[in-house]
Amino acid sequence: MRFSSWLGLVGSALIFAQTPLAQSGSTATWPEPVPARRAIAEKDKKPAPRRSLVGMWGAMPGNRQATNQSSGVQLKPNNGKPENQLPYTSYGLELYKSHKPLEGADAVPPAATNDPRVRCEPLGLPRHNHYDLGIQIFQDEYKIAMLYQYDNQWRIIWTDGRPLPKLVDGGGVEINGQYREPRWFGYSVGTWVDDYTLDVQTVGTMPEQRVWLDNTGRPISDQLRIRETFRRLDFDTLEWSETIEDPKVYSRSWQTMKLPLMLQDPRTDVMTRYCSPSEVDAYNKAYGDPVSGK
Amino acid sequence: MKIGLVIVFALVAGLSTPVPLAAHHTASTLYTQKLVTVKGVVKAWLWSNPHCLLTFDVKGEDGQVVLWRAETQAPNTAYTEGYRANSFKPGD
Repeated sequence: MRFSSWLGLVGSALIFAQTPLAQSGSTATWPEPVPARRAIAEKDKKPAPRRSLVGMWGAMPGNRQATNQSSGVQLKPNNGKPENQLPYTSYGLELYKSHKPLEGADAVPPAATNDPRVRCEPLGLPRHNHYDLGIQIFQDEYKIAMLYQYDNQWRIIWTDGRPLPKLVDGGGVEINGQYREPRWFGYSVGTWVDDYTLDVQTVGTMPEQRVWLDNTGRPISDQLRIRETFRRLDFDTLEWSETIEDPKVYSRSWQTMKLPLMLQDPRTDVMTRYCSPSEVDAYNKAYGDPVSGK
Repeated sequence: MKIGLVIVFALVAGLSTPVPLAAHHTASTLYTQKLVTVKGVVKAWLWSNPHCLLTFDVKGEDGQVVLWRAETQAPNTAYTEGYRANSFKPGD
């Protein structure tokens, strides 16, 4: 599910056709590989296109930390403050305590972590929404494809009217009476609520033994339901909200993020960030292990 | 000993220091407010994920050379601070 595979399926012309930032061949260049558009003056703001999320989306000016979320999900950073405590069930709290994160209020030294990310396991959904964001979105009449910058992963949201699969006890989903296995990005369907708002629901994600909610070790389970809302506020601004419901782990649903993103230069050949096991090993050998006293 | 470089990081961690130091994603843990300036000679510049590392020798007042390693963020963040894959080379 790497970028290169996806690019074979979707032509980049889709994005060029809908963004005025695209340039003709005579001015073609290599923009900076880390997109960072400046703020747009009020007078230069334009209305959003109808029913389109297409574009390369990144941090708002001066707000890169919000897209990184390394200290926990945007609306509930894991900093020990009472207002950021989560409504764990007893099982959820047990799960949380079993996790040894590198970040957040209960961070451990590198050699002691059991974060699946450090082994280069896929982050899965929704953790991919909560780490080192920068996304590129393509769409056609059936689906929306989201290409995540971190580890070059991609995800499909079906917008052709198909129903949300039925979540099965113990994980996985039922589709047309048949069992389907849990997946890293689950099964997502999207509905346009109006011309500028897409409501997305996802079920069938990976079980608690394989994935975390965020970098700070917050847990999720195979009974997770994710609801995302993408609101195109204007041409250059996308608001991405997310709420999770997981009765095995949390006693009530709660909102993880309400993140504004800015449309970036579509010509950007973005600097990617693969998780390479050999690079992680080199890092730990040179630095992570020694500072852990290992 | 050649001293040809002034290194200023928001966070500089020395392997020889006696206190525990956070490593991976240190920016969220210890010494986030501590600025240290060290002069030394570059041994290696690792432009790599998950974090970049600069290894360098520092000669103390007693004449002893101590190996230091400084951690930065991942390349896609370090890039925005002006660092590049060829920002340092051995001997700098």
